[in-house]
Amino acid sequence: MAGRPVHVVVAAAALLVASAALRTVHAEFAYDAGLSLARDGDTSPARTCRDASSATRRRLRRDPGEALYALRAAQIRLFRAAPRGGPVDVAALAPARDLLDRAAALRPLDSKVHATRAQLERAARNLSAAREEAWIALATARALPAP
Amino acid sequence: MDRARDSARAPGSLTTALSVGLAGWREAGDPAALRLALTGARGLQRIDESNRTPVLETAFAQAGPELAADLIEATSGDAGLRAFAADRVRPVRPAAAEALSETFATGGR
Repeated sequence: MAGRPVHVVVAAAALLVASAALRTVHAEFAYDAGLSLARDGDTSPARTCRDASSATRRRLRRDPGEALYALRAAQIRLFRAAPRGGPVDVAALAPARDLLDRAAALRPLDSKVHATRAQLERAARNLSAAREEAWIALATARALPAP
Repeated sequence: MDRARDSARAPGSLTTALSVGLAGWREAGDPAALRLALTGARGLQRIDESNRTPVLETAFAQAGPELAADLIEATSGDAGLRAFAADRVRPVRPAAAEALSETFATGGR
């Protein structure tokens, strides 16, 4: 009889762990869905971008502590704000910059975060900031272990 | 040694260095940006990704008369980078390559 409260506590703890694991699994599914949309050559670029962006929002909501999700969400927003060879929507760069700030806070030594920041600053025509971020990207990539 | 070091670099960072550097040099005429572009291009060559670097020769071919001076300043203090730049500029702007080679011969910056 006295063991019942212990069982309840253990069961609650197990539920918490399962819920955390499920959140990460869902985030991974959303991430994979976004990636496969981006790689699908048969899907129109507009739909790819919209759906991939929606997938990244879902996975960020489910796992806000994962830098990779923030980075991918930022890259998609950057792609939408500054399509290659197209006009740049400077106002739309702000959410991408916020997401990159979050990714950089989570993983300050990730070269991909700094390379994306360099691309964003270039699109915003902040050439000096772009150059600085590109140098940081090179330096942090050099620090990576050899593949 | 350099090759091993650069092989660890993400190609994306090198490509970004090349494109951001070239943009900065073309738009602001900044030799420091040209140094960044050359560093990215050299890294890409070291990891056998030279197919991404023809933009460098195109930029050299389209540059104004300040090209040689910019290259000398951009490669200041790095003989390897200067040799790389001379190799890349020679096919499209031999006079600029000649100016770079003269800085080797005279022990210039």
